[in-house]
Amino acid sequence: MDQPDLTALIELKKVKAGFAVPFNHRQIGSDYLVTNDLGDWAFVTPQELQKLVYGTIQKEDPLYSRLAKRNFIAAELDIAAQAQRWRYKNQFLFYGPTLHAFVLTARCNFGCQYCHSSIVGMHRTDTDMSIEVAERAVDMAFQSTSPGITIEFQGGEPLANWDTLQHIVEYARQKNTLAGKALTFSLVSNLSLMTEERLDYLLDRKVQMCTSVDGPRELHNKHRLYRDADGFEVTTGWMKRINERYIELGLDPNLYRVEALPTVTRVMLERPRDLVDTYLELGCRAIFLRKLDPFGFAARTSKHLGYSMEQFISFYTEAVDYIIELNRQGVQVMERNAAIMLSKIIADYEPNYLDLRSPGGAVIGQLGYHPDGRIYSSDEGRFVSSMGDEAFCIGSVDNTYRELMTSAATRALVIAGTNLSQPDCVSCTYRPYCGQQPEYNYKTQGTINGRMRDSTWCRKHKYIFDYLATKLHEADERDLAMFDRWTTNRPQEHFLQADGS
Amino acid sequence: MAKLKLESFDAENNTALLSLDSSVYTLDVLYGAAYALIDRAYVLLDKQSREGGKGSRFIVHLRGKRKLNKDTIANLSGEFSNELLSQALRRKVVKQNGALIEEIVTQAIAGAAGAALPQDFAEEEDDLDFLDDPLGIAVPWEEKFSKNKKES
Amino acid sequence: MSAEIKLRLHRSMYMAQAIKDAIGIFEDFARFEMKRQDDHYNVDIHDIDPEVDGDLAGEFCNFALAHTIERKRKTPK
Repeated sequence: MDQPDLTALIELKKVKAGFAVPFNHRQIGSDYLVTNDLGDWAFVTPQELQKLVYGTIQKEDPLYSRLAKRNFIAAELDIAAQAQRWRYKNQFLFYGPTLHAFVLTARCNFGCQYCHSSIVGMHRTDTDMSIEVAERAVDMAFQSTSPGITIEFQGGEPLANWDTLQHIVEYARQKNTLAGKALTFSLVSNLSLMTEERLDYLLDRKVQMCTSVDGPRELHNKHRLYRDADGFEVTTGWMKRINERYIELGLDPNLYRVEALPTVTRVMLERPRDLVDTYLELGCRAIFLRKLDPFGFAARTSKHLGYSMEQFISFYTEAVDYIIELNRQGVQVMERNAAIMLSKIIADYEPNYLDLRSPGGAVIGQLGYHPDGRIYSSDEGRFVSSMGDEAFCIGSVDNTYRELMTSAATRALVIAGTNLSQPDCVSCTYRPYCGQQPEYNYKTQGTINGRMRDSTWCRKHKYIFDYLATKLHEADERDLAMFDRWTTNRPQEHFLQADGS
Repeated sequence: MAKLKLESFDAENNTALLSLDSSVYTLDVLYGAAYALIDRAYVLLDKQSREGGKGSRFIVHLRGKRKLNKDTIANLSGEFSNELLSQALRRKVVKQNGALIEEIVTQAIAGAAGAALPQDFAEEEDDLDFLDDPLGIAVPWEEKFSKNKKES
Repeated sequence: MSAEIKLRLHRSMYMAQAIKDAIGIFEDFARFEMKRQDDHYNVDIHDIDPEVDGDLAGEFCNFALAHTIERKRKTPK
């Protein structure tokens, strides 16, 4: 790639302060991507960049109107409109936690080699969340100032504690008759303990269902050990069954499907296309390519399952290149990281993805409830706990909601999760679209602030942003239409509990 | 000497000694960087005056929780050096953007916490006798005034 | 009896209360003597419980450091 010499291009003494709004720039191909604090972006040639910083763009120059339309020319900025836009995009700042992850039990019948949670055998019913703790956790969740809350059932295997799950659904629905929140439930399960009767109940109560599929059968079964049967068959069998039932209910199959997530392990690195094909065969239209993270078993088994960020990046590139190729052939499939990031960039929409917002979602965006009533800053905070470190335990169901939200720990996590407080982030071109996770920083670099310069979190996200920026820079009409499809937000309203009743 | 220096490494005792000029980074920065190491090493901080009394050096004694070798100690001291710089930079950035960060963080926490409810103060109220008047607001102003006058 | 381990904690870097907190935590496993001398607090550790598995002095130092940092953050300047 030709590297334009920026020092030859721009002389500091010629820079006209105040002509352009504050912006950051990054080389993409032979051009520059410029972004401003509002999240506007544009590609400019080196000469155009020079004119922008020197303030020498004439009004009749088409570049002027192009950059003015994207809010880069200070004199043309409609402050009131942009303030409103900022508020809309940052509306999460005005609400409390939306995601409430309930760990119903530590019991699990799968032995996943990279599991984040601290799982125990199926006989350990003492690790189940009791009805009493469950009710108090629901009470806490309902105190959130967010108009919408999602109660997510996790484990262990949450279906192992079926009675408590049912009780939470009924209790929360009952509470919501008064609270009137946009209430949704979601279940993260290996589906092996599903029965037709349970499925009837979950469908009737509109509980969204998600599962994990780690690629083709042999890879899935290699990492997700299940003694009782072929684990891949069991999980995907129920996926198909649930999808059939959605169709029977008259739901649009393009929108309502069982969501599945893969965890990318070392052996999968060689087979990105097989992973994508498996998901397509299962009827999935979205794949979330997640790197093995540094928590729980994943940390302990990283020697034989782990890989470098560079290997992941290479895997990611091949997988998404393939996904784009499939789209060009008319197959509708997307990658979730890309869709989230593109939503922020091209659709100017904030999907409130908790890992990529500033401040991050720790505490103020999500809470994790342990079966014994302890409350964590997030799922990841709970994973750190499963490794014997209670750094992210912010209290318990015995605390008041306000105590949790206003604690010193919460404040520290919010500050640490704010991009403006990070040396590298303040000058990063992707700052308006990015975020970070204090728990990840803590686990990988020893402090909740981390050092973005040598953080694998930063490397991964910066790479994907670069990848997408390059694709956008090179995109033709057909590609732009594809990216538009990926960022079209169609809410799954079926899963909303109607009027709290 | 601006840079962090590895003064010595004792493989047998699994210890290393680092030093840096105390004028380069503040004590807060040193604390922040040292804190980031305590999951992997035992850390003892010290300070030595330079000969002749001009300036001083921070001394960092490290003992690895696991066996250290030349490579791991180089990594550890490299990471410590990076963390020092990062902590210092971060403090600067936070200071520069302080007003904006404060606004955002305050809004985020206030937005999440919502308005205070009576039950949030229930415990404190239990401790207060409603006849107590710790702020003296029930005292007639004449009394206050005359008392002040007497004192003056 | 002579001290088994002698630690010198600089007074400008460690808070006395944090050292006392650390002594409180570890006193079941050894006997501690803390004295102020010039720029340092000298902490002598005697009679370390032979059952102690691990580096008691090291853990003591980390604890005193961490508590100093935490206390300094809480103490208005």
